[in-house]
Amino acid sequence: FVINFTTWIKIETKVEGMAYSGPIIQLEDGWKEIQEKAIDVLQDRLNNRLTSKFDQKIYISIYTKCYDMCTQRSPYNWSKDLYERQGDSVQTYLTNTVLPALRIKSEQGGTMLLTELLLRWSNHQIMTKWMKKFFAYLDRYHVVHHTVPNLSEACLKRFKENIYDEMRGNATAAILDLVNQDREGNIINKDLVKGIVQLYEAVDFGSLDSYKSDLEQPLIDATRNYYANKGENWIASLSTPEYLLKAEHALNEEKNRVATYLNPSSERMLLSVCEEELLQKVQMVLLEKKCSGCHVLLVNGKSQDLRRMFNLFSRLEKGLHPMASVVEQFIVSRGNDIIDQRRARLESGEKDKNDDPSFVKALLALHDKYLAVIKSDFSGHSLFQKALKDAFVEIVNKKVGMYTTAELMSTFADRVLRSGGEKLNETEVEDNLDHIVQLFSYLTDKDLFAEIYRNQLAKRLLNQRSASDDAEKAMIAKLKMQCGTHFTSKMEGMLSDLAVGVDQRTEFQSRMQEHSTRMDYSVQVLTTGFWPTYKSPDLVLPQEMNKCMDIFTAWHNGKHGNRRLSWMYSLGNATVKATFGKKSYDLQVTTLQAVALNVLNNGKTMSFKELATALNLEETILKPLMHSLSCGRYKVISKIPQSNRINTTDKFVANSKFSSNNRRIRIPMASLDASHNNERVQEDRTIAIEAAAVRIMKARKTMQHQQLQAEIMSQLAFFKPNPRDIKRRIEVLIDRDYLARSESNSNVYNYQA
Amino acid sequence: KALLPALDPGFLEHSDFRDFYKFCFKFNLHGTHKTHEKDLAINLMEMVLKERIDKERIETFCSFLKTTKDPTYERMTLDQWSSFLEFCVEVKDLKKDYDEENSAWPTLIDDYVEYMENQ
Repeated sequence: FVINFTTWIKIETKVEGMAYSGPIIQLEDGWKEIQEKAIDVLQDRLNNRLTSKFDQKIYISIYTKCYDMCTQRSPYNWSKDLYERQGDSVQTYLTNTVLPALRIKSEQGGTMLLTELLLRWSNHQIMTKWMKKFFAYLDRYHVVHHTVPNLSEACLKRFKENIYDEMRGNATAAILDLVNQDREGNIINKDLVKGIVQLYEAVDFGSLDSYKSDLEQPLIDATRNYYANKGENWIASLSTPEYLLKAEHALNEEKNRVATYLNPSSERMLLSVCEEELLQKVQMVLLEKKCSGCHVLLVNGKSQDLRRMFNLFSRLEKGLHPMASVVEQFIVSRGNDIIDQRRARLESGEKDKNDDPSFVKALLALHDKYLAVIKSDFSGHSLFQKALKDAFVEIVNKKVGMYTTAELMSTFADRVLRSGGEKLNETEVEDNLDHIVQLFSYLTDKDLFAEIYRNQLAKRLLNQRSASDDAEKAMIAKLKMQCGTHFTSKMEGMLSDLAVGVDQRTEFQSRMQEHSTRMDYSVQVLTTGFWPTYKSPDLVLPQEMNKCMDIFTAWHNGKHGNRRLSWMYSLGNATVKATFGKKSYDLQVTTLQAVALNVLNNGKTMSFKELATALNLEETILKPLMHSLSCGRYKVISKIPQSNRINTTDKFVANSKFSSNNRRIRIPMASLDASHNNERVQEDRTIAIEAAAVRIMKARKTMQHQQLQAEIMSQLAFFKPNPRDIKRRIEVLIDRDYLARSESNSNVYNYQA
Repeated sequence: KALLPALDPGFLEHSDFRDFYKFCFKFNLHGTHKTHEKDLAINLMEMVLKERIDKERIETFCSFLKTTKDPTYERMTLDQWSSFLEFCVEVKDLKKDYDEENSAWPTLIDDYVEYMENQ
């Protein structure tokens, strides 16, 4: 057994590569040497702020002494003792030297304490470093084999328990005081603070727990108090923009503070406390401040201030909702101003017609303005876009006077697209149309707009009053993009009819030349259904016209045998060469006017009743017809007796005294048809509701009333029916056996297959 | 009219009476009509519901029908007729038990309740 033990020692020394072959070192001797040469020297140097570098030879000798003392065979293996004594020396140093010094400085106030503490801490780090170096062998074997803390940990722990734990209270207080001074704008020693913060960070060997509980938490609390105070002062004495400026500045400062001398993990918490005290608490006060709140900023277009407000409030959770709400209300009030202006004009006597360009332009401008504001000041944030949308939905669906905004908008579009309407260049036309479509998207009664627009489009197309075909197509395309193909199918049908018409006319022209007629004749065929319905009087035409019509009808039937033609005499134009005395004129008139003129040719006098019979026209048509020829600007026909109203007792004769400087004269005639058919729109709505109801019930088989109502509403994109209307339609469907009430629950409907 | 007093529908359960009540409506239809003229409906209703439904309810409803100027109520449909009975059974107190938003009574009955509120 003894032999084996000896062998073991031999192996150990072999592995180490260094064989000690001198006399046994006794503990006290060895320790004394280490103490005197290393520990005392080190402490002395630290105390006197001398450099702590050790001469290489000395260092090696101490290291070796330690090594030797730890590798001697038992009972002379002094590892445990060295470990303990090393620890004790550190302990003694800390308690006898470091702590008293700190206590003295503690009395002297914040910066003094901190400076001393920083010094002592950096000293300790140096001491730890040298301890590790001198006693490195302990770290390698004793620590590992006995599972005790290594020298770094042990040293740190001693510092924490003896120095840090006692000083932390005052140190924290000192730091907080410096931070507040910094906040007040005084110069402080930032490096000092940073150094101490690093102590807090390091003291737990790997975790930030001490930093968090001993420094971070108190800092957060102090910050909260500080800004609660400041906030109170500022809110009382500053305007909103001034306050926001200060708040923004403070937040930036705090962010920099963390970067400069705190631990980065504190940033989120610190900033959130500031945001809470400076912004969250006073948000409503800031928004609603009498002369400088959000509303006022909007009124005065204070872009920078609004942007700052947006940026600051976006830091808060749901912080933008109140602001968006103010913006929405503001836009609504601006819209109401525009509406009120219209109302005032109407009340002061202006004629209420379906054309109010200044109103529409004002709405477009308002929309444009705040679209831009949202982009520039609110970063295009969706919450504000929604505010704009909701505001305009409210504005655009209000009605003042006899005409809805839908109609006024359509008429404005008509102005833009009509030749002789608004004078705009190509880009301006495009912009206007774009904006009109944006405004259109807010209308609930989109189908009403479509109907009016279609009627006005037809008028433009048939009277060749479109300024630009491309613009017409572009507008229809925009509406299609908003609402889908079905919405614009009729309008596109109208355009295609005209395109076909061009080709057809060329083809027909060659056919016409085969016959000898005294007039230039062309026909435009319209597909019923695409176009609005027009009055179609059964006019009596002169023979030459009838002849032309017959030729066309024959030719057309040859091409399209299964299509029926229906002549619309209330539409159509003619150029009539009229000679009064020696002068001749080209009169541009409607078909009806041309036929009337023809009947009154050669100076014939006819009474109203005779005309009615000859032309086979009823009063409602003949009156406006004769009015246009005898009471308008160009009185080519004389009315007997002269007046501005057509009476059934009047007589008419060509005006032999008629003269004008213009060779070409256009004689307009009042439109015979209403601007749109409101009943048609209502009818279509009824059908749409029923169709939706049947469609839904067919798919779902059974449904509760409220659900069905909600589904129907969501499926109807172009108008919003009220619940009563839906109920009525459902009752009709019940009556017609499409649906039935459930026997068990009268609130539920069943689909009847 | 002659036969009815002889019958005694008072003993019928509600579900049976409901069928009987609907039958009365259908039985009196003329030709291919599926609805009744207002006056006929009023008379019929008063007769059939006499012992069964609260007198005041019938009276007020009939006077509402007589005074309303809505042209769509000139004729009564089977749905309106049947629903009225259910309405009388379910909704005793017009103020408390009637919920227009959450129920699916025919608009005729909605208008009747509104008429009663304005009285």
